[in-house]
Amino acid sequence: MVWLLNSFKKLLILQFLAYISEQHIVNLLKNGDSDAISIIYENYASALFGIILKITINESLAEDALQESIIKIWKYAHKYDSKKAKLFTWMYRIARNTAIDKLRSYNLKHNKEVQITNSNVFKLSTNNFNEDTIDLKKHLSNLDLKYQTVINALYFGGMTQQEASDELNIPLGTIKSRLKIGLRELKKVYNP
Amino acid sequence: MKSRIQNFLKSGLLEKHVKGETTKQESIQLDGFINQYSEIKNKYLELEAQLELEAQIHAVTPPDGILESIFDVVNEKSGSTIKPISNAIHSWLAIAASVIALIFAGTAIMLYNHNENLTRENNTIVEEVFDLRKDIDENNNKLDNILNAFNKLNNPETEKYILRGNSRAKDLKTVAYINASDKSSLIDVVSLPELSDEQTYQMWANLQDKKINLGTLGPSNGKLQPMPYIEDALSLSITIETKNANNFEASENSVAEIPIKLKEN
Repeated sequence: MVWLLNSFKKLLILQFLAYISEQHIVNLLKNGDSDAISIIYENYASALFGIILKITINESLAEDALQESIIKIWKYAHKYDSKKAKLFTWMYRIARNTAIDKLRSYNLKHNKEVQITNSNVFKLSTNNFNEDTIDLKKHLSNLDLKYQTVINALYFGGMTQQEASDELNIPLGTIKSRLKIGLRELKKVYNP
Repeated sequence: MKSRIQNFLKSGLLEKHVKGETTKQESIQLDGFINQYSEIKNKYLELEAQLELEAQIHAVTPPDGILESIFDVVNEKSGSTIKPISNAIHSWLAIAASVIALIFAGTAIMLYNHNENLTRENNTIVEEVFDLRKDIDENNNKLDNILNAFNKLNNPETEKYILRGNSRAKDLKTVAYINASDKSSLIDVVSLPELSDEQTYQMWANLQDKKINLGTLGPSNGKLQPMPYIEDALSLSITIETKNANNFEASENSVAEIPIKLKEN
């Protein structure tokens, strides 16, 4: 019964997320609607936790930093300017800075030398000389075309899952499964 | 100008800006470039998409309970009580699930009872059908017997013999139907005076040299009873005998007698 309830709950949230656009989340945030916290958490917590964990290494610190980051996102939502950056970019910056602050504070507290080596979480580049970027593009292009199409539409086309479903004329469930499988395949490349 | 943009793109500043690694002053300047040059803007957007994709690829599921902790902190600070949407959904789902479960349970019980009633009803109907079939068979048998008796009675070869009781059994009245052609006989006990518990009425066929017992007479309730046909019987008689007596020989016990017409060859 509990399992059924949780599955149903998750399904409802996933269905909701498929329709909700970044602009909707921003509107909820700006209006102080607490649903935004849950939606951001469901949608981005894992990605932000991955970033934070790369910086802090320490899992307990990472949990604190994730909690603090989401509270900051909620608290400082009025400062977000969609003309300057995507919502995720803005949240990434908050999560990264919070993780660095947490690590610094922890190191100071434990009389450790303040040395942050992992602040540059992902290497991005506008040219093709950066190895990581080459890898990402190469690995993406190595994926089956159906996964590439979905990932490109969602990440580089800025579409919601529902919009991608309408645009590509692919059922929403298929979009979700292709995204999941595509990301899983890319993850395998980085963490074999 | 184009080469200046290319050089700018290669500088890595835009990448740093996306990741929030530039100073405030640099960021203001870079935002200006992004708004001014579409080529830079496009690259900026591409980098943002890359960043999000990279983050999703390297995503790590956080442990349970963090969202609840976030809401605790937010509630503490705001003084209000807000719940995670999942919890809100959970509450509604729990209520909905409980209602649905109750409806299901109620419906299941109702259907079970209904089914039980139908099964009982079905069993009763099956039993009734069997009873009715049995009744039909019995009625058919009765009808056959009546038809048979009617045929016998209606047969021109059938002779009717009325046996009336003498002074010892005044009210005795019995009718015998004998058909010599098909060697059958029937008896209708119309009235039979009551005897003591130790006595019975016996029916006899009297031949020239002996008597043959045809059985005990009892009330027939208006029904014709088959009786053994005895060839060459000269008369029929009824006697009153003592129960369990070994030998029925007492002609003095006779209470009714009637001669039988001999068959004409």
